[in-house]
Amino acid sequence: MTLKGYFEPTLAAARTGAAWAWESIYHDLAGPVGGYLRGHSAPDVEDLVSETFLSVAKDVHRFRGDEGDFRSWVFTIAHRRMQDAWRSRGRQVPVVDSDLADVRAEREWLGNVEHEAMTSMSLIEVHALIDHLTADQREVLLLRVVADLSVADAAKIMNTTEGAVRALQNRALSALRKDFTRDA
Amino acid sequence: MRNKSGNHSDDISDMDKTRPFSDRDADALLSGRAPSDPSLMGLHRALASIKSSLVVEPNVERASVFAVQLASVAATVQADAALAPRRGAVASPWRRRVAAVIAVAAISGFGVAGAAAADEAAPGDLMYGVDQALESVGILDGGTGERVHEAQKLLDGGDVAGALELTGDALESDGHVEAATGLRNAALAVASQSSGDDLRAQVSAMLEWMAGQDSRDAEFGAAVSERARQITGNANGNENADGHANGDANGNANGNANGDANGDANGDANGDANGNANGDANGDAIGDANGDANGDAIGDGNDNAVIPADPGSQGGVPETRGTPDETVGKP
Repeated sequence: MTLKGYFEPTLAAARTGAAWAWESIYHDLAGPVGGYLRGHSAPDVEDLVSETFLSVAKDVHRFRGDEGDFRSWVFTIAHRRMQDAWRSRGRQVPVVDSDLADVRAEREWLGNVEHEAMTSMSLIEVHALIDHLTADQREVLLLRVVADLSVADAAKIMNTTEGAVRALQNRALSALRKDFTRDA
Repeated sequence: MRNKSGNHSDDISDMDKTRPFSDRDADALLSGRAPSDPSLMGLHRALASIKSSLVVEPNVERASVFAVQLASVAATVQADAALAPRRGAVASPWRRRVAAVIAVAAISGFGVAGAAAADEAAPGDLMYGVDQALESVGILDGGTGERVHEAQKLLDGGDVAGALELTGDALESDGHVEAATGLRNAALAVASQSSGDDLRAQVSAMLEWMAGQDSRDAEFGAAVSERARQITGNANGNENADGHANGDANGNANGNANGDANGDANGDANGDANGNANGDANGDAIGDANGDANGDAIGDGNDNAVIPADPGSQGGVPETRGTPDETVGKP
């Protein structure tokens, strides 16, 4: 939601193929899209982010709506790309406290020292917290917190009602709080 | 998933933690604002930390390379989408007939008021298709005047480039090919940079002028071409506005500080500007004025320096006096 007043002209320019417009759209959304996929432990996050934006570029001439709609639309695409990726390789959600943990540590923790130094929680700690949630709770949490979407937008992406999203987010927060206070 | 049952039993044994917050606090937590309940601050920080750990800002260089790729994909698809229906419309007389049927149905269905409403439609509106269908069978005036009117609406909606393109299309169908090309170039220039308010005012002025013209002769076409060139120039100019501004500001600031600061600061701005002017101007004047501004500094500095016996100007003024005096001796 950082483009605000510039969104309309940026979108118009993006449709006509202006590189600066795509740069600002990518800059605005690539971080959260990657975070959303990372939170879901999606395979090959960087590839999925690229695929998502290529789909956006291919279909942007058909998109109608404001910046909030656009954000929601991009995450809908990311969500589908992720599901496709899982389907194509057979669903295997990595589990933190198995022998996969050290593989992940090598790839995600040691591999991104700079980023880790900037944040107070390592990806492993994050997953230790959110992997305890049910899949639906995690989805709501990531859509609301990482993707910055409204309850209504999250409901649309999850194909459910706003009431269900509110119930899920309350349960997710309760579970997180309990885990968090216990860990602390 | 494997934890669902575990959480569930915990929930039952620990009821006060299952609903520990209001909907308002839940919304605050999820959207990154601080909750009103202070006992939730830990959770608030945990969520912020989860977010910042998961979200990695994209690499700037890679982003700009990828942006070029995305732009070319969008442009290719856009071009294909624009070509496909147009080709169909030209190729098939069938489509014209369908359009006529739609138009007749539209007129009988929603009457003259409805047709008027369709006539008001700008591209992108639901009614625009009806508007064009009516025009294609000659029911509404689909000429340049109407397109200009539609372009003004696009402009009100903030679509500067769209307005220019639409006007360009209209002019081309009137035979003003050169003016149309000019407007399309202007649209491209506008689309390639983001700041729009000045340009919008300019395009708006041009459209108003076009709407007010009765004849559409060669003179009219030439005038439109000229305005389009100005818009293109401004659009390209704006892009570099920041760069120029910096360059000029530095250039002038130095020039004036060395030359005028001595004269003006002492003479006119005794009360307010002495503090700054003396402090800053001395620094520069001593260093630079020697080399560059000998002539001015000598004249103004000496003349004015005598006048301000103003008590506000003590600080560094004697030094400025000193410097030009010294420079007097040098040549």
